[in-house]
Amino acid sequence: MEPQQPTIDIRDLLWKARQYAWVIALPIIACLCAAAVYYKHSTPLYSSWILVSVSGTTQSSTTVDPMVGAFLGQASPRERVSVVDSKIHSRDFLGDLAERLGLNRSPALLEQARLAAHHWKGITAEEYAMRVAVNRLGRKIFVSPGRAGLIQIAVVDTDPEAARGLAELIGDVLVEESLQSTMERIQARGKFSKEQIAVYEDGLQKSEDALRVFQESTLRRGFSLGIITDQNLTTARSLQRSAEDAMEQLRARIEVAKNDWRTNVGDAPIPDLKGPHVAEEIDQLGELETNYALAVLRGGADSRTETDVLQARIAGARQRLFADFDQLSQAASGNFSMEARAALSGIALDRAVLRSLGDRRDRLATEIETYLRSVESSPRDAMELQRLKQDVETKRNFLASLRLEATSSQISASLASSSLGPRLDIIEHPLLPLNPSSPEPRKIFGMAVLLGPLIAAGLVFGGERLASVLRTTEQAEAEYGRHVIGTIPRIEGWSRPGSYLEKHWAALAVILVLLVTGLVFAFEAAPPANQPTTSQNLGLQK
Amino acid sequence: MPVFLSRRPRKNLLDDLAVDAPYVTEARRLLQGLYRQQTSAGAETRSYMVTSAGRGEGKSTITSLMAIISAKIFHKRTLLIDGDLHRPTVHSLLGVVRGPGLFEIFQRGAAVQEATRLTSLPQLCVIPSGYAREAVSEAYSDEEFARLLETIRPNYDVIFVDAPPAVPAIEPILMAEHVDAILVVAMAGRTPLNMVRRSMQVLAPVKDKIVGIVLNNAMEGLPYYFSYSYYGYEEGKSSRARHTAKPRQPDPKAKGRTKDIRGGN
Repeated sequence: MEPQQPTIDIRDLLWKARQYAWVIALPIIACLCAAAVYYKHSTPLYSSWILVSVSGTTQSSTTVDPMVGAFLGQASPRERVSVVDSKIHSRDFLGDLAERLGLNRSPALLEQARLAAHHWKGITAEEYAMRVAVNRLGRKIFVSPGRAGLIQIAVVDTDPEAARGLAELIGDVLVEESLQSTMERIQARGKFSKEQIAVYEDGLQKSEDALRVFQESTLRRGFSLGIITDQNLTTARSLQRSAEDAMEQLRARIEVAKNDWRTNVGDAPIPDLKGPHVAEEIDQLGELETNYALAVLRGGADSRTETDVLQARIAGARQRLFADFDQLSQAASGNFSMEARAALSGIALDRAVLRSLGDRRDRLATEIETYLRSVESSPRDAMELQRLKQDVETKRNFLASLRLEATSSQISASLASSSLGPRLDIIEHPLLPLNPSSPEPRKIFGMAVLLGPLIAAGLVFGGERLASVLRTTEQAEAEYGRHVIGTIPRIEGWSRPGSYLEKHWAALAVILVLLVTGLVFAFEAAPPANQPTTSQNLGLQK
Repeated sequence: MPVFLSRRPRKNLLDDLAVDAPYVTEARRLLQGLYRQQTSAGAETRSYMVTSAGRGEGKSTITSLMAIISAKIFHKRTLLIDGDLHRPTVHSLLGVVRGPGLFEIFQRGAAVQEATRLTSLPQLCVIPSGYAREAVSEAYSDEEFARLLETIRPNYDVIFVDAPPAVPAIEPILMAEHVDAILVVAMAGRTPLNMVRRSMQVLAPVKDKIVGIVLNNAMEGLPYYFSYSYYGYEEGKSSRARHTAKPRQPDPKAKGRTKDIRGGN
């Protein structure tokens, strides 16, 4: 069997409503009476307002716009309202208003301030008066979002003329201060940009110098080692090996010649053949061997001609050395045979050739080693070069931005001062309010109409649910543990149980509420005739 | 004292009785059930004590109503004893002189015939409370009450005893020993639950004699379908019917008694 869902019986509700008719009527009538009394006796307030726009958009061209920049252009309407509200309710702004209106110099306020200042040490009467005036002004001004993204600044006052005058003044002061603060900000921005330009110009100079030095050193290294490349490295190694092979053969031949010398001469030392041009010719031969190797490495058609020439010159140089060594061996002092002298000149020539080939081999080894070292260090150099270039590029860009900013601030300043690009503008000026904005009868009576039934429902519900009394037959049977054998209704015409007050308290309360309300309306006091209005206090003229 | 704070004189139940009124219908139904129960059980239940948890729950009114209907409609010889010496009301509800009554029987040994009042209904007699001038709680005599019941029982078909409330008074639990059955009256929307629980604790020794609960003022706490206006019954209609269909019979004794009541109270 499914559990029964609790249902709401409309007729049961109506029955209850009939039972509690006066209890329901009491809060409804009380709320309506309270609303009527409030509406009748609350001071009427007049609201005058201005509509302002706050934005960074200017009237300049699209080219110049990005340079000028937007002040609050990207802010949401709520943020704009918040900014304006904070500005208007700031102590400085309200103090300025109070000062201009002379509120803080009101004799009545000054007298009150003088009395109050006795209780606050360190606060003068003027300061106290200013605080009170600022506080009063702040409570009159309301900032809220207006239509079409604009901001509405409303002033509420008991005097319509005072409200309009204060709204007008707020608009004027707001525009004036906004322009001033815009100029200050622009100037500060320009000053900052100039200082930063100087700093970044110096930094850029240093970075460019570092890049230039590095590039020069790289170029210099390229010039000094540029003979060996990936293509001719094998040729270089081949030339080196051929030089070493030739040198090996020469060493073997020298050993053979030394044996011939010993065979003919015995243990006598081999004399050193020195002539006037021999050393020079040996150096020249070494240079030719080296140049030959470099010419081979350079390759190309021109190179082949050069190598041929160099080979011929090497051969010529060797011939000249041989002739010189032969003469010198013939002229050597000592009792040497012809074979010994021939061996002597051969050994000297081989030694000279060996030395020239050694020069060629050493030069090639040096070149190869330099090439390999450069291959190893090239990525590091490339990275360093990239870093230096990026550094220079960054500083150039930033410097360009700073120069743009400096130019922008100059343009902004000129725009602001020429009112071409205002940040805050008054769209609608305040009007003299003809009808009071508060109290609003619809709002007040609407709240009463809503609140009364709510309280009534709460009372009935509370009375039904919270009162711990016997109500139903089921409850009676459960509590007594016996059947209900009879339900006797109230005797018609007889009064209900309970005292008169107990039975009729709600009706009496309704009558009392109506009576009090009637008395309040009947004895409504007339306003004092000579009470000064706010506009008179503010010194505003109607 | 302002009018709205003063206690108005109670209405006379005999004068205001309308046979077709809902409360009479319900009381008839109640009595019908009681008598049927009595007959089916074969018991000779003749004396009923009516009590409640607290005061002001309508037990005197209901007891008087049952006595009237028992005599008028069921034609039974009926005696109503006002056992509430603290706050006696039966005499005013039925328009009889208050004393001598039960108090005088207890304290001065007055004769039962002297204390018994006749009413405008020939089948209905009343023993009112009497004028209790001493401490009421000491006035009740259990032996005298038992003797009284024994004495009068053969003379009546049914005896109703309007007892004081069970929680604040001691008499109900004493009287209950001598009666045949107990009815407990509760007022819907008024009787506190804790008072109900306490009364059941008090009446626990005689709970077997409790034959049922009578819920008074039922319209206040019950749903709409308990309302007789829901079934087409209206108060004005009832009132018209009362005055046209049942004109009050002039009774010199009743007049005199009524005068006495007003004067005595």
